[in-house]
Amino acid sequence: MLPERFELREAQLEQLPDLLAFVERRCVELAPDAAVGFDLQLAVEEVFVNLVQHGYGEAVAGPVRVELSKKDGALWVTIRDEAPPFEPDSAPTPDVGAGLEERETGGLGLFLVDQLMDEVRYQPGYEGGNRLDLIKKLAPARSGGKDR
Amino acid sequence: METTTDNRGDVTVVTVGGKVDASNADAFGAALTAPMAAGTAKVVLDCAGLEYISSAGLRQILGGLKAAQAGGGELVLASVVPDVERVLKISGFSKLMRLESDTDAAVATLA
Repeated sequence: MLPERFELREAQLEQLPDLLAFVERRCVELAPDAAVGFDLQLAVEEVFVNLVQHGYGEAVAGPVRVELSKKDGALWVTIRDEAPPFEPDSAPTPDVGAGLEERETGGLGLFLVDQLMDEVRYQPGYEGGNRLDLIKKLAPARSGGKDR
Repeated sequence: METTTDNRGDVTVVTVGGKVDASNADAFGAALTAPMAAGTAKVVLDCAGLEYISSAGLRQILGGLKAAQAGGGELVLASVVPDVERVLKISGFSKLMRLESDTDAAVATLA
């Protein structure tokens, strides 16, 4: 039985590949026929990197707990940390229509999370940190389901 | 993540394979912009083996695009797999650069 939880006491970027491997394995285990592993790895990465670089910041490395389960026809990723409360509206929104000269990349990571997941639930201040749930619906098994 | 570089006249082909994420994006960016630093601003990025890219890698591609144009050349992406192309579209990056279906064709357009 593969572990359902990925936990770090001191989250650092060097551990990102291990975290993504965990997400990929859980997707294969829980939804082998659904092509959601790419999107879930990307979304989890962006949240993790944002936590390491901004939530905790350069000087501090803090804990993170990532759980991935299947519920109600969707894959649920729950990410918990002990960083100061994060308000998603405080992040910039990238201008995806901007030309090369004007284009900046601030806010791109969280924008991608929003675009790739079906639902994103931020709970700043949850149990002294933050809780984030990423929900990715799985297509119905029978034909006639929605196109991707 | 691995990169190789191959000179074809005045066009450089940089081939990237594996996954580009925040833990290795800087190394990817260094390989991508090395040709521009060496004076060859016409670069094809062969993405046939690129399985995954996140915003950190996209940032490096943006830097590569700007460096190529600043050098009077161009950065073209070749053989991008569907998942990566989807991310390029969502982020608005596919409008900033040319995507070609294979490396030889991409090189021909720059030579």
